[in-house]
Amino acid sequence: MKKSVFFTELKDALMLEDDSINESTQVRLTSLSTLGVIAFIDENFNKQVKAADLREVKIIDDLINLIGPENLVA
Amino acid sequence: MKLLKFEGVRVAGISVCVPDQVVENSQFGAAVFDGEELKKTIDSIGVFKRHIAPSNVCTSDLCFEAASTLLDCLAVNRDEIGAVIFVTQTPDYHLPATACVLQDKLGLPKQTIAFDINLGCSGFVYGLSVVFNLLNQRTITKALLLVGDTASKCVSPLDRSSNLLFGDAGTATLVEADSDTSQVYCTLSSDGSGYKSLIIEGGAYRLQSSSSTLEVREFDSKNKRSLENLYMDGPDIFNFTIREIPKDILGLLNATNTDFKEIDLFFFHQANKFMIDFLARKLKIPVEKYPLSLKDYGNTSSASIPLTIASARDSFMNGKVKAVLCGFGVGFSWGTMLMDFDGCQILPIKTY
Repeated sequence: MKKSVFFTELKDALMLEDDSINESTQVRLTSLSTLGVIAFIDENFNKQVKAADLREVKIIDDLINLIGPENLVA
Repeated sequence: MKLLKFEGVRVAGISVCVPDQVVENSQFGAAVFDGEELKKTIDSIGVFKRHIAPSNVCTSDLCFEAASTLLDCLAVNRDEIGAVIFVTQTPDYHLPATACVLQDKLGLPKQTIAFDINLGCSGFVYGLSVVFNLLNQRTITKALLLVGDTASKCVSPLDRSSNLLFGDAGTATLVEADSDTSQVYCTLSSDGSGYKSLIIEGGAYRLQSSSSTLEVREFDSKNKRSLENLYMDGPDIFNFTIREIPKDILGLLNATNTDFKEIDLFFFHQANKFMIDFLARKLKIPVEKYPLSLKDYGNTSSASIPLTIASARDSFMNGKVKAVLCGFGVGFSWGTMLMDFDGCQILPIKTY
């Protein structure tokens, strides 16, 4: 997936109001947005991330590491 | 996957009873959510209102009403009932089994087999499979499956992870022996490693009731509850659901050589709208094939599948309906059933 598309779609999954997000944007996952992220990653990367791992996520880059940076292209 | 097969059994009728007291989530949630957050939460879980039992109404009262109505409407002689099985996680008492109380209250004969099953979200599918097995005894020709919960009583109003979700309902399903019916197929599964993800930890015998278990404390994300309130880890349950349920449904259809297109309706446990929509998307089930009852009733735990069937009763008016029933959640426990509804009497939802 293209990184720009990733950021746009992830923003919706995270229910963020900000205009743009990047690798260092801070993430505060609620119960609902956690469901959104699990669904987003499952649908787009065919990968199941564990809720327990998502609890450790602080910034977008942590999420990218869970997905695997190799799955994103510039 | 262990495939269970039942022959010579049919669901003859379903009746549902909900409390007449209705809570609107847009008002109820205003105390603990800010405006925008409340709207997003309601839209995501898909629950706009819920029927809530007052303190003097138990699950068994709702099931009793549903059962009485069903037996009367179908003109069933109570002496014909050979078994009454009550599936709930909100019984009247720790003991005795509420099914025994209901056997007497319903005027069923003393020869009636009566026992409770402690299951939630998967309870309707499990309950049907138990009743179908009992009907294999030629001496039992009719049985009542009573399934319901009043989960709203277990939820802390200050716990934002569950306080807008749960509604109450009681259901009655009449199952009978009938040699002229198609086969029913079912899978039943469990994964107890997830038992802590949906739990009321205190108040039974592992952690007995005390002032400590009753104390309301602030847990994660400022959610407040006691150890005798329901705790729900939504993301863990979602992980479990997307890991197990699609492959369970596909496995059942493959094992029975059933084409997806043959299925008229899918009845999922009404966990929440986000989760069901996601499952349906993953399985490529069109929206018109999976009815929802969440909007008006919420997640009614074990009752949610028969309640959703009753809320879609118009779909059963034009002959046989091939349906997949899929219950999943607390335990973790899950079950999927493939069956035809043919001539099943589905009564309008009643209030109490």
